[in-house]
Amino acid sequence: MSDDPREKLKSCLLNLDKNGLLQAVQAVVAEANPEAAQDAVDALAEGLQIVGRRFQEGEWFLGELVYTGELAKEAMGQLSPLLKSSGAESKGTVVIGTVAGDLHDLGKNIFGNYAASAGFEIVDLGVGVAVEDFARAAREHQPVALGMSCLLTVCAGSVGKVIEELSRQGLREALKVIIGGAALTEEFAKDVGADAFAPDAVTGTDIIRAWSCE
Amino acid sequence: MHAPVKIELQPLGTAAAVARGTQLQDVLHRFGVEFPCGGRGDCGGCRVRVLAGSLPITEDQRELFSEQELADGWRLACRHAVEDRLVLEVAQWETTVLVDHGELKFAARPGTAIVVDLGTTTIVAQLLDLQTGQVLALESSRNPQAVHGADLMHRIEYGLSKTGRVELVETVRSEVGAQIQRMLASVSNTDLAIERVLLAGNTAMHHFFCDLDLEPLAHAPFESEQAGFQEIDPADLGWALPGDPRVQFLPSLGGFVGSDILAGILATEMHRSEGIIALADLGTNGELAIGNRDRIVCASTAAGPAFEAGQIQMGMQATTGAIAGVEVAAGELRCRVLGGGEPRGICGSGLVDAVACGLETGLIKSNGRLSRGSISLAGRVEITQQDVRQLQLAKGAVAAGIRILLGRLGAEASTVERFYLAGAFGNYVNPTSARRIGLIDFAAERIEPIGNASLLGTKLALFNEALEGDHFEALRNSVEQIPLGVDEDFQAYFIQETSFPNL
Repeated sequence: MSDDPREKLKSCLLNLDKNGLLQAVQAVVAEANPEAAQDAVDALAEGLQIVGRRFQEGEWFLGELVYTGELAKEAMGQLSPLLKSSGAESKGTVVIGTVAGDLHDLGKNIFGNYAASAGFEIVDLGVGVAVEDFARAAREHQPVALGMSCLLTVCAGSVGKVIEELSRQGLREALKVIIGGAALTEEFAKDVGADAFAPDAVTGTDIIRAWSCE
Repeated sequence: MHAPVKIELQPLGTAAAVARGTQLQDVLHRFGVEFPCGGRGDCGGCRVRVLAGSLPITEDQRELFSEQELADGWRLACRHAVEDRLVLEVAQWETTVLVDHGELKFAARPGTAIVVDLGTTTIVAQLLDLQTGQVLALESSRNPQAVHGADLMHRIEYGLSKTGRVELVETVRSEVGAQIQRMLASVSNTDLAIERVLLAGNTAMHHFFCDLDLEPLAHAPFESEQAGFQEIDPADLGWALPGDPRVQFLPSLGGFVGSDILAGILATEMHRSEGIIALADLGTNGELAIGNRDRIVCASTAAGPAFEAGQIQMGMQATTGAIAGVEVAAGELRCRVLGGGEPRGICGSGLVDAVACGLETGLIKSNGRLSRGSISLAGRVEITQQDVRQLQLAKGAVAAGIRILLGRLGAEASTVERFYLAGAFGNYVNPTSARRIGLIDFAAERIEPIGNASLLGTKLALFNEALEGDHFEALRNSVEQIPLGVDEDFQAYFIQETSFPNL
C-alpha cells in the first residue's frame, strides 16, 4: 500500500476499511493544513467516482454503494471544518423529495447520501412532499438542482405539477430539475419538461455534477 | 360405443371430453404432459393428483408413493384409464396452488357453500359440502383483469376513471360468477342450494369486487375506510344462484394487507398459538404476518417479481421445461427439469436453488457478484448478473420486513416455532436454499409449506360461525399493520439484506 495519504484514503474507501479510513482522516486533520484537507477531499471524490463505476458496471451493488457513501460522508464531516476556514465551497445545494401521495424514500435517500458525499449540500424535504413545499424550498434555498422521486404511477402527475408551479412562480429558469424512480422514464422527463431522468443514484450524481460545472 | 366423459387438468384449467376407457396417458400427452420413462410406471414424472373423481390405487404404485401421498390423491397418470369424470392436478404444471394442505376441522351441518380466493393473478374457487367438508368441485382461472396490468397499482390507476372502474368490477364479478356456474354444472346434484359465498383477497381485489371507491388505495397512506367486512346482494352482481346465498367478502387488515392474510392467520392458528408463528406469502408483494395469541403484526413488502421469475432473463412459469431445482453433485450443478425434457428456462424455486448452489461453489460472492459473466445451468439455460441482482432486491425486501416485524414483537428468529410459506413459490422452494440465500433465517425443519392458506382460512371462517360479525372484527382489530415504508430501520435493514450470508 502506498504511503501517500491520498492513495491511502482512496484504497481504504475502496476496500471498505472503515478503521483505516478514519485513521487516515485523523492524520490529515492533525496536520490542520487546508491544502492537505482539500487534497484528501479530492481523493475521496476520486474514490467515489470509482465506486460509482463499479456500481454501474455491476461489480458492486447497493450494499457497497451505500456503505462507501456513509464512510465518505463521515470523512467529509471531519475534513470540512478545515475547508470552510479556507473558503472552500460546496458544489451547490440540491433540494430533493418524494412527490405527494408517495412514501417511497429508499432511492431518494441513496441519491441524497451519494450526492452529499460528492460535495453537494442536500436539502431533503422527505416523502409525500406537496407541490407548494417544493416551490417554497426552491425559493428559500436557491438550489442548483431540484430532484423529485416517484415510484407510484398514479402519483407521477405530481412531477409535472411541481414543474408547472416552479414556472408559474418564476423559479424554473434558475434551477435544473432531475427526476427518478420506478414510475418515471426518460420519455416522461421530456414530456413534463424536466431536465434529466436518472436511472440510479450514481448516474444522477454524475448529471448534477456536470450541471454544477456549467 | 362409450359415452364421453369430461376430464379437467389443473392448474392450467384445460378440459376435454374423452371416450370412457381412454388411457390417461393419451389424453395428457395431447396437452403437453411428458412421460419421461415412456409410460412404464418407473419414474413418477407424470404424477397427477386427483382433485375430484377417483382413480383406484394399483399395487405397483405403492412402491412409488407413500401412504400419505396416495391418501392425498397422488397417482401415476400412465397407470390409469379414464372411467369417470375427473379433475386432476398435473405435477408438471406446478404453477399455482389450488389446494390447501391443512386438516380442516369443522362442525358438520347440511348444505353447500362456496369459497373463493380472489388473487391478483389467479382466482380459485371451491364448492363445498358443509356436511362432509368435501370439495365437490373446483375452478381455477387467470384473473381476466390482468389485461389492465399485471400489478395492482396499474389496475388501480385504470380503475380511477369511471369507465375503467366499471370494467374492472364487471370483469372480476362475471369471472367469479362463471366459475360458480361451471362448478354447479359439473356436479350431478341439480337441486343444490348455495347457502353462502365467502371471498378473500387483497385490499384492491376486495375493492374491485365490492365496487368501492379506489381513490384511497391510489396514494399514501393507502388506507380505505371501506376495507371492512362487506356483504353484497347477488342480484347486484348479476348472479342467479340457487338458494339465494349471502355473498360476503372478508375484511382487509389494512391498505396493503388483505383478507387473504387474515385468512392465512386463521389457517395457521397463529391467533391461538402460545408460541410465535410466522406466515409469508411471497409473490410480487411479499405479505408477512408474525405473532401469537397475544399480538400479531403484519406487513406487505414490495419484493418485485423475482420469486415468480419475472424480470429474470430466462425466467418462466413453473411449467414443463422449467428448471425447478438445482443441486451440487460431485462439484457439478445438476438441474431438475419439470417434465424431464429439454430445459427451456428457470422458475422461481429453481432460481433460489441456483443462487444457493452458486454461493456454495464460489461462483457467486456474498455481495452477489458472479465470478464470471454468467452461470450455465443446463442446456442453453443460464443465470446472469442482473438475475442475481433482481433476487437480491426481492430477498432483501422480505428479509428486512421479517426483521422489522420480529423487532416489533421483541422476538428473535430463533424463538419462532413454525414458519409457514404460503402460495406456489412457498410450496416449491427448497427451505435449505431459501435459508442459504438469507431469504428466511430459520432452520429448515421449522419451515413448512401451507399451500393456499387464504383458501384454507376462508373455509375455516365459513365453517366457524363464531368468526362472523363481531368476532371477526375483534380478530381483525388485534392485528397491527406495520407500514414498512416509513419504518426508520427498514432502509438500513434492506440494504444489509441485499447481501447474501457469508458462511
